[in-house]
Amino acid sequence: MMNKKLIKNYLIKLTGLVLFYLFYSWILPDIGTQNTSTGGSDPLENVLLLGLTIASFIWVLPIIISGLESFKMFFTSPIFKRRWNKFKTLKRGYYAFIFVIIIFGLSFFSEFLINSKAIFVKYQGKIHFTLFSFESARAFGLKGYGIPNYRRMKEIYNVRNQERRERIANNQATEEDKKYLEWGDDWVLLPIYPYGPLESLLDELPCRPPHPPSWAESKWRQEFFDEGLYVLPKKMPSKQEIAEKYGRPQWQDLDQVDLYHRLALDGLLPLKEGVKKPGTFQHLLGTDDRGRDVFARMVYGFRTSVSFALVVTFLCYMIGISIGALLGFYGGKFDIIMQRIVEIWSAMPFLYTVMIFAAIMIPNFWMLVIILVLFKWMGMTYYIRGEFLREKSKDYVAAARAIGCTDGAIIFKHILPNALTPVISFAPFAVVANIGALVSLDFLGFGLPAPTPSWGELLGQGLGNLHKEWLILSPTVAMFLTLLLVSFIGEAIREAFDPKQYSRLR
Amino acid sequence: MYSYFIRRFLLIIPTFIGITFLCFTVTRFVPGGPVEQAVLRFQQAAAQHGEGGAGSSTSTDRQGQISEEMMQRLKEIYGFDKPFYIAYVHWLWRVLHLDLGVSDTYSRPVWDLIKEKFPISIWFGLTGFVLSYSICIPLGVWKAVKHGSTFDTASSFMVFVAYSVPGWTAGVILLMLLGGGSYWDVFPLGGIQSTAITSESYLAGYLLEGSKAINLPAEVRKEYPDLKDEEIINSNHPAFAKIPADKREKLQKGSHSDLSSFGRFLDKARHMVLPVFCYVLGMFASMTVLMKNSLMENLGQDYVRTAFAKGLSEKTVIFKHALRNSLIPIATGLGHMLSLILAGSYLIEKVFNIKGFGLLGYESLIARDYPVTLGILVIGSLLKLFGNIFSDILYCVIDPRIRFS
Repeated sequence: MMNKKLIKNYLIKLTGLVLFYLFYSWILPDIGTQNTSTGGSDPLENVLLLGLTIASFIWVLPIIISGLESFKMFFTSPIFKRRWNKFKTLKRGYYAFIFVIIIFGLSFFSEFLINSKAIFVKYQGKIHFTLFSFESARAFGLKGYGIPNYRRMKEIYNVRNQERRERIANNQATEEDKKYLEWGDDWVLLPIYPYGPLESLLDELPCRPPHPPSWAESKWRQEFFDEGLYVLPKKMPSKQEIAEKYGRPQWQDLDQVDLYHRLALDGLLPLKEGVKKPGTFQHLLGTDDRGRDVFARMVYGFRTSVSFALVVTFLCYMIGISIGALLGFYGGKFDIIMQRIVEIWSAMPFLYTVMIFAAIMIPNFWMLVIILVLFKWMGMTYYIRGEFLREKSKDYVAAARAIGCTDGAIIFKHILPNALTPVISFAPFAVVANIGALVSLDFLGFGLPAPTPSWGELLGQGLGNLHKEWLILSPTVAMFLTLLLVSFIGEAIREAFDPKQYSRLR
Repeated sequence: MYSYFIRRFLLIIPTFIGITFLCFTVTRFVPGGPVEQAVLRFQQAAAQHGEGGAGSSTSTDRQGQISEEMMQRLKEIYGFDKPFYIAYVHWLWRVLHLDLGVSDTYSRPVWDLIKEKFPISIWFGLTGFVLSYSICIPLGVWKAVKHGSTFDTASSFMVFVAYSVPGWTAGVILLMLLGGGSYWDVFPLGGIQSTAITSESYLAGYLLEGSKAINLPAEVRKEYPDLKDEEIINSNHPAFAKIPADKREKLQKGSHSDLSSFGRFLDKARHMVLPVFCYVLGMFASMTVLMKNSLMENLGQDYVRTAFAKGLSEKTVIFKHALRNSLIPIATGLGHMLSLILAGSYLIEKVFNIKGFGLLGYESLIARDYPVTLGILVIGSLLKLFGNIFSDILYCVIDPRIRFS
């Protein structure tokens, strides 16, 4: 019995070491490179950091595991099942929950659906998986050393295949063509929406960015007219011409500029040679001011925002729960002093302090998470502390103590599973707040670094281009829908888990 | 009770020191501070000078370097020559003497800047605050009274919508729709007052009478040597009465100051509509729900049952007994009023380009103007700290049952 426990203990510590190694090799260098001035060129600092991280993983991981176990107890308890069934009956929240889960899950596969890179390329009989690898254009028989433009590659391959077929039909086949009989045609498998969030489309689209959505015909015509891309009639058309050739007799009295403008907007003028209009569904939401596809940026921005909010909420709750639990369980001097510290910490003007930190540090994703967690973890401590204070005096805790449970066991196995209700019922609203915080910071320009697709950054562009509706409406509508769905979930969860019974007298 | 508040007041000191020390330290240790910027400016100037002159690359390299003494001098100017904790103590000492330093970008005392911008933010925020109270309280009460009715469900949906649209994002949409871009031109794009009023403007009717300064009698003009000949003075000018009546005419164009007082009011009001709407929207959802839940809770209490039992009408019970008690959590929110307003102002003032407190803070961060940044932090955190205590005091005053210890 004892042995089993010991072995388990060591196993946990071992996993901690392995996880630590992964963490250190993946995430830490990422943080380190951003901040070169304080980065670990100093060996002592490196060693200290290493030691701290090892220690935290070896000692903190068991606690996290016990914490997860108490979450498991919470989720498997019959009370939870009953509440969950109640939640299922609240249709609005339940369907919103399923919808958000599906969309969020799908967004992790957005590289396969919305990307400028091809998924597979077949070239000279070999199939390459190109989605995550960097392949030079030269490797696929094109010019240049950079990342190939896969959309153009597809067109070129089609032309080449066609030419090859003609050569073979005319018996002019070369050596290579004969090989291709064996290999089969080259092809490129593009994602459904073949535009990436970071790729500038300036050399593929006419006119200046931001480009309107490709289905907004009249806006495109206006853009073409503004850029002078229409072939205007050499001389002012006569009244008869206006009536017969263009079929607009009511415009016979307009002056030249006005007439040409209207003709252009009605699509009656031909475009100049070489100007290609994008297809109707090519750019669903247009492009931003650097010519990047807005729809792709919205989808990737959704993933970033929601993951960011979830990570921040999770970390805040982890810290809040542990500190609140300790305060509520031990009480006394420790409680009083820590409460004062929490109070001091929460007296900071949140947004401005975060703005100062973010403006000065220019953070990446993880640093921004840390900054937000640093100033936001306090909220949960009060609730958990209260729950612990209440649960501590109940009989089952006394019973657990009587049979000789350690403090740790009482906290994790007995009280915590009973104290998690506020965590569950506040989490969706915390997610809403964190999404809002990220969008605000991005809007102000203190959020994620520049090329990261984000809603707030797009909205900031929209503020500078007030007549480009797609730049404003896309992020606001996306944010509105996301926040609305999440708050539907939150409302339903609150009703299922923490119902307020109002008694009314008439 | 009193000892509780004394302790709270004493706690302000470590809190204030903690907040400012943290932010002060951050401004110290991160590259890109004022000294680096000054060096950069110097190097750019030197490089341009070099290009304009001989143009040889070797000479620009030499010019671009900054000597050791010069660096020392720069550090002294910006106070970076001492270790950060000593510099912090110096800074704190000056703050205690109400000296927040001098802004690097505006070259003016920070305190003057804040004094100038603060009323603008308060004016906008307070209007929004009062308006949202006067909308949300009746709505919340009505929702609680009609709990479960169609009205309740419909307005709940409205609350959801308001909760999902942060006030400032709605501001961007409203600017797009009503700011005269591609749709309606109902409201101005931002700012707090019109800069130029032309004869086509709807405000042209409210322009005052005016005249060129040259029309003043010579002896009066001597009293106002600053006036140029072609300068137009309006009827608010003290010297205007001396202008002969036939030289006066109704102004065709002018600025905000050339409007009659009603015109000025109209102009300012029109600039306030959209930002104030955003403030209201930002507070609408939480305030309505808070009011509703608070009243619902009170309606389930025993004293309400008693009041009903002794035969009082529903109206009396709700409005005289329950409502008074359920206003307590709303009223204590008054304590946080100022810090709430300031927190909203960073985004809303950026959207509407209102040159107030929030925009000053934002711009100081962009320009790395640390004296202003820290000054705004000082004012902001002090307001928040005193607001917390103020709302506790309000709690005690309104609800004598509550005892802090």
